[in-house]
Amino acid sequence: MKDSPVAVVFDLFALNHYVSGPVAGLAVAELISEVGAEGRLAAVSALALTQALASHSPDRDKSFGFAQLQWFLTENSDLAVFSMTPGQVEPTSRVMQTGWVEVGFAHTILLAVTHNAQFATADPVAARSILGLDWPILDVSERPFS
Amino acid sequence: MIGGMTKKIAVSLPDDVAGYLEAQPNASATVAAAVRARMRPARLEEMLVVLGYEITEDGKAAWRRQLSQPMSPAAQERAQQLRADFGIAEHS
Repeated sequence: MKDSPVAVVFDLFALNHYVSGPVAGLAVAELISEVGAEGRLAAVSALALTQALASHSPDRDKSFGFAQLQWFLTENSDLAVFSMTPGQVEPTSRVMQTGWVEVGFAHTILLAVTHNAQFATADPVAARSILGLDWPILDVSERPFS
Repeated sequence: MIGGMTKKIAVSLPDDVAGYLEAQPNASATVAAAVRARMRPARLEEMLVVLGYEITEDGKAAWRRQLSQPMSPAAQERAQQLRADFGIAEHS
């Protein structure tokens, strides 16, 4: 097996925490920065990113958070945006049934399992319920040493 | 970045690096890719700082420790089980 370049996947909770502002989102920013410094990738599901963008309306073009999310799409090559492939459709539906979760979260879980990646979230309960207690879950709701 | 513009630069390289480059079909592209990989983390961090995130070495070091933890045998077992349950293949 070849090691995946993906070190961490970020779920919608982590994205929302990141874009809530430079203070609250600092843990996420430091994690993205560290992953980039190690030459690895931080990944996000295109579906979760779509949901995060959709939550910014109606004056979303003026919002700090919306600008941050757009930046993920354009400038930041260290954050990989994964679209859902045809082969992931059926497996993602299984994750949805297993955890009674919505499609963006299920696709994020699928990415973590596929890439053996750590799971970054600001709400670990939902991820733990599917991935289990032993999966490396990074709680980005606070900085790891604070 | 302005696409298409190039500049000729003379550099001195150790023998092993020069030998490797000489064996590449496009040495300039190989050098450009390597240098861009080196530039990227610094550029990313600069962007985050511009956006107002005050990145600290302590914060990054704390994540580094967590990222360096190997997946436990129990988690690997769980991953295999989930891949089987969901019908997915491991990254290869």
